[in-house]
Amino acid sequence: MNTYTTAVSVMAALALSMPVVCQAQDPLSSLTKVKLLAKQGKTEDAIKLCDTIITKFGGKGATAQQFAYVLPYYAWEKGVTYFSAGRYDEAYAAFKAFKDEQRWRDAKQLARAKANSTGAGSREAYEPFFTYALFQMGNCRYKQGVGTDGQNNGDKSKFEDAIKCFEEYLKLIQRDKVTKTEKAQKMDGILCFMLTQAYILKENPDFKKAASYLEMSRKAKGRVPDEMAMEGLNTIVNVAISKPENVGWVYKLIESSPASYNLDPARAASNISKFYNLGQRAYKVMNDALRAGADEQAADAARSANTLFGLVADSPAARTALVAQAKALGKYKQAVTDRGTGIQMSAAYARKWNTNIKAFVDKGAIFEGFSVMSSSVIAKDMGSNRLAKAGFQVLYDRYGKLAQPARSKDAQPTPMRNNIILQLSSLCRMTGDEANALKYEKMLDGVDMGDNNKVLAFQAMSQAVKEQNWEAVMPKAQEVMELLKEDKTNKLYLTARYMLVASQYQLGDYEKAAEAAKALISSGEMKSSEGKDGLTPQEAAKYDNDVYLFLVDAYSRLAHQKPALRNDAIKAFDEYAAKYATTDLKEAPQADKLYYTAISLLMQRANAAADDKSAEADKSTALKYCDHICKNWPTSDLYSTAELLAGSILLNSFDDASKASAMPRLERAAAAGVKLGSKSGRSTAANAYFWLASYAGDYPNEGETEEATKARRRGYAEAYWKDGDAEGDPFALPMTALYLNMVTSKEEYEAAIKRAQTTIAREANYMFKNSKPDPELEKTINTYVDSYVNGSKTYLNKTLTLEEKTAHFTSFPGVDPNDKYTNAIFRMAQISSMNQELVALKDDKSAAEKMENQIQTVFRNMTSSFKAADLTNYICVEVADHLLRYVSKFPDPSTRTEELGIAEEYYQTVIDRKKDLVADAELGLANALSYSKDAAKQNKSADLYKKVSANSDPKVAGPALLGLTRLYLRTGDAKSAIESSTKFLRNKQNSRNRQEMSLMQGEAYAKANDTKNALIAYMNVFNNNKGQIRHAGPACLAIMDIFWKRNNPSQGMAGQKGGQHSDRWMAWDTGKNYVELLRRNKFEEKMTDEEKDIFNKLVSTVQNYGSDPAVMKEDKAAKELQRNIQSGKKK
Amino acid sequence: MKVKNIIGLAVAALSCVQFAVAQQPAKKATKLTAALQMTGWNKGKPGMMELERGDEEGNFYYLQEGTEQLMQVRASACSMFVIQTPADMASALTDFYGGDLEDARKKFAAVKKKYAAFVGLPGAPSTTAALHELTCAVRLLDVAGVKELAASIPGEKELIGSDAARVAAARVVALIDDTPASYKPISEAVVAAIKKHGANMDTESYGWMRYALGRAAAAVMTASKDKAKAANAAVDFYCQAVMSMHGAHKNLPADAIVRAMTLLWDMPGVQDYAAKAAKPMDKKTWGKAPADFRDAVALAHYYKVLYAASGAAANPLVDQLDAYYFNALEGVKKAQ
Repeated sequence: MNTYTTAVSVMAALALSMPVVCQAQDPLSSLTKVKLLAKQGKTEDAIKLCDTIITKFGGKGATAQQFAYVLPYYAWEKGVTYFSAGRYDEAYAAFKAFKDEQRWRDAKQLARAKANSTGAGSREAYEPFFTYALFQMGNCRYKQGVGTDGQNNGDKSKFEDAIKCFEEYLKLIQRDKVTKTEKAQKMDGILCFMLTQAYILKENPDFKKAASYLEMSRKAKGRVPDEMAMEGLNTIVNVAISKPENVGWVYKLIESSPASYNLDPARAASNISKFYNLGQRAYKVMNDALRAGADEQAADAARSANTLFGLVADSPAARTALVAQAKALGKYKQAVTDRGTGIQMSAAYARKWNTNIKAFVDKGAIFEGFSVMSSSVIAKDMGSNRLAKAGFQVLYDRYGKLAQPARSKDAQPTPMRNNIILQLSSLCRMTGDEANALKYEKMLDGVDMGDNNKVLAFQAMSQAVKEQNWEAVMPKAQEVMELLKEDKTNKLYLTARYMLVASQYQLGDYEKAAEAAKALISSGEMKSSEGKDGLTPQEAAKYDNDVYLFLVDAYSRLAHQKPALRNDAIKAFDEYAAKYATTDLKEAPQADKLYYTAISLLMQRANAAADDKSAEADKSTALKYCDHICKNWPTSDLYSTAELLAGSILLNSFDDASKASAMPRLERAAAAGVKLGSKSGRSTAANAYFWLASYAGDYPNEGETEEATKARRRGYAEAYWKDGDAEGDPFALPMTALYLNMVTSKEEYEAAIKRAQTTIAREANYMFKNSKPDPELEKTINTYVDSYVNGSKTYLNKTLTLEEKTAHFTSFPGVDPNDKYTNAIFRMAQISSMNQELVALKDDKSAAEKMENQIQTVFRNMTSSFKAADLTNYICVEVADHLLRYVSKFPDPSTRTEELGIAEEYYQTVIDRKKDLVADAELGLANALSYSKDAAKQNKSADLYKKVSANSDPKVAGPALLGLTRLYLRTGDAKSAIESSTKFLRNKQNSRNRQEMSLMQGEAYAKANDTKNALIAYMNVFNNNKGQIRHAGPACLAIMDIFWKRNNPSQGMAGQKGGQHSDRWMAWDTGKNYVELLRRNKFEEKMTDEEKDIFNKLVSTVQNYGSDPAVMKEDKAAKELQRNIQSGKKK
Repeated sequence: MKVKNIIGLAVAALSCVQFAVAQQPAKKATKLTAALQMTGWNKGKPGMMELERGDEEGNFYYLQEGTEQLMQVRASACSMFVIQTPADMASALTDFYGGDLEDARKKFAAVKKKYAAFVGLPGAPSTTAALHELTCAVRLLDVAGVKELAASIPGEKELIGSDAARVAAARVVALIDDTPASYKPISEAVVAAIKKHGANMDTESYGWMRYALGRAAAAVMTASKDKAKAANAAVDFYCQAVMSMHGAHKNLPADAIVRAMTLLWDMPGVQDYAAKAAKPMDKKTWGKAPADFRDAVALAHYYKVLYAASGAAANPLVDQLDAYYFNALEGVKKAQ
């Protein structure tokens, strides 16, 4: 805005009112000379002439009086001259002096001036200068404030004075205290406009004042043209936006002055780039505010930016209006002012801007396109990918030529087409529009996008990640890494490198995943770095933690095949734990998971440990890690599981104090699991409640009565049903059995039976639906059958008839009739229950015979109901296995030919089908045949065992060797038994039943009269499993038997050098020590029936051997010697 | 109708063709003033002439000074011909550019009628008023009004460039009837308008057509088996309408945003997710939220910040969804 021009034009207008002075008189003609001198830049001469005239004719003489009315013009002209010369302080002083000089106000002289002047304003002569001097004073200060055009040398402090003068003058205008000449000039509009600018440009801008003057400038009598108002607004916005805190106010200003901005397209044409650039500045404020979390400021800036972009005129609309205007004005070169709107139109303007816009468009600088793009970016920043996508779609559809303007004259604009496609593809992906994302990405195939190639490659990798197409992720990740190989701190590079590990892990290629993870960790590249392209410390820690987790977990999985890798996994964890000593999950986001994985690894290693010491060490470390999780991350999802594991480890420890300390941990595990509210949390709670219900009786609270303990146990069970029970939960069936066993009253019986019925039916259906039978179902059904039958008698005083039992068990409520597996179990359970009754009837031959017949009836019904041909392979194997377990309970299973025959039929059916579970069926058939006393069948059994033992699957191969060894022992082939047992024990994959096999190996050696190896085998079992009576007990008995039978005499004096006890003393002493150990540790109280039998046998054998006179004598001598040694020491 | 006389022909022979016609102007007839320059009038200097009327051939009529003879001149023959904006039109334009569309529309309607006798002249107020009246109707989303107004634009053949394109776009809007059957005619009309007017169409007009497509696609959704797919198409059209306007003319974009937001809100799983989500969301939950939910929330926020604050109607769903809004840029490092 050229305010100077405006001011000068006003002055020129006032000058028209100057009197036409007679040229013949010197004081009059000199004024013309003054103006000429001023115009020639001879300021001093002009001023000097003014002063000379004023001095010369300022006296009181007649001549002076004659020309006194002319002098004010010279006084005024001094101000004008100084102003023209840019000497504003002097001009200001001159105008002020004029205004304050009383001489010039002499009415007589003014009348003479009026009388002698001609032309416009002649009736007022120099009278307007009295008031107009105020404007000129303000104008001087204003010019000083603005400074030299383009030199930024203004003195902003001058604006205050300018404002004071302008406002004072404005008041005069508004109060009609100015002359007619001034009124005719309608200065109020321009004055308001200058005030607008002064308020904006002063040291402390007052935008509100500025806005109010701007509005006044448009409404005043001398309203400024809309274009000027718009310029004013542009200035305000331009200055205001430089301070972010003003954006809200800017928006309000624009919104409150719509007519100043919403010009017709022809007039708006010249402002296209200005509005766009202002919009961009507002956008920058918005973006900064969003990043800073200054939501209010961001909203204000967004509104300002959005509105400014909305003001960018469309090139088609502008050109249409400009073409029409140029056509209407034709060759007429002057501006034409429209009478209705006051708008000035000019053909030159119209043609110029039409040409300019066409040139912009031809070069791709289409500002409405840029505005659509900027609006899209605003929308995206505000979270709307959908709007952003739509914006880029519009750009793609309509602005194919859009180009970034060249930065220099020689440079070419940069086409934006490919970038638009890139953005569009990215936004399509973000909004789930995969098809279009791929379509647009494909358009860029082979296009060199410069730096965006990296983004494209990264985008493609991200898409593959999103689709979980891990095979595709790897080459794309490698491509990203290749493109960024020179910038290894770039987050795209590091993310790709991370994805390479992650994808291999996801694909289950744990060897490669571990290898890649190890390489990444060793490289030390996963680090944060400064700048937008680097990872933040949190991102780097997240990736690094994940990589450690992949590594440790990959090793852990590989350890199933290569147990040595378990050590590598634990070592990797140790490295992690040393690197991330912090307990802050923000700094070590996977720490809880890694500790949890380490616990699992340590427990696995402990269970497979060759010696108790290292096993205990691992368990101790595992417990320490559980404590670490529980202490440091009580809000972690893994907290409840860590407490549960800690409880589990403590329950398996040797001392009662440790075991008892498991109880509160289990309670915390249960509570935390429930609190999690998730499926896994419920599962943890289920496990904890089950153990609590199972062990609370063994470890009552201090001072707790038995009744109270029972009530607490029951409480845990009830809590299980409420907060833990779920379909498929592994503890649902064991808890059912436990719950049935807790029954002590009729009410509890009915509740337990009801609960058992629904749970058994639910779990049976779950297994049936998922084809996942669980041996627990059989155990639970057996318990249920017993409880149902016996409880009816005890609590309901009702003995169930065979018909009632059959009716109940053959159509169990809720069990699918097609579920042959469960129904078969019920039948077997019923048979088992009847067999127990049969035992009780041993003194009543008639009743026993009747029961026997009934059992046979039920059995035949069962086998006729469940024909092998109708059953799936799995059910055939399961039912047959079930029959074998049933048969195995009889003292001589070979007599159960009917059941064995049916089992063989089931197995054979599966074998004949030659589909799945053939090896399992062959193993089962071998087991069935092995019971036979028929040599042919035994041979067939051995052949089958040998065949299955060659299977690569240790789950069948191991049991086959176990059965084969058992068969060899039964048939007296000790040599073969030694071979098969050795083969079994040498294979580390055979982790189950190793003690049983060792016992059989010992037996085989003993039968082969290889006493030495027999003792080694038994000693291994005995020494390593003293807590497990069912293994250590028989081993101990066997050792005692071998010693007893070998019967080597004592040598020398036992306890002395070269002395040795006799074998029989050794046999007795071994057993005696073991019995004492078990008694000392109160094992006796917790033994199962089977263990009690073994223990009793041990006690009896020890007593028997101990009563042998030779042993007694040797023992007495040994004790005496011992006493002598002790007393000798004392002496 | 027009009787030429000798004098008129003689003047015409000199330069600018002028015809005197027999008809005398009706008393108190509406007149217009034009700034013009033509040979044979005002000594060939520019000046203001009072026009009696115009005709479809692009001729204007004036009373010859002194003779009071009604003269006929082809406007295109003048070296300058600028119809001066009548005061009522100026007032309407002030309302229009000031955003008072209701008042502006009424005034444009009056202007259109009042100056009908000048239709056919370049810059005829009736034609300009009709175009602006139509624009007001579209911006005010008065589809019935648009249909009526778009049917007849006085002096339409005089419209060029973006003005002609605007009429074509408004005619697409006139096809909105919110039935599935409307999709075909609307999409065909859009294709035809783009084919005919192409680059001459301004972004606002283009936005109108995207809006019409959005309404049609939303109607299709009601009868579609794959509702989500159809709803997505409608959402995209509405969003394109909003973005096409690049911040200008708030009413139609505001309506489009609310419609798009409502469609997203009705997308499968969105309301279920919202029922479980915390307000406001945090970085973790926002990042994992379904895209449709996030977009519904972002649209609500966009509406609240940019439209509700500018006077657009309050909307309960906007308030409900905006409560979930999360500023995902907060704390994000700035590009250097």
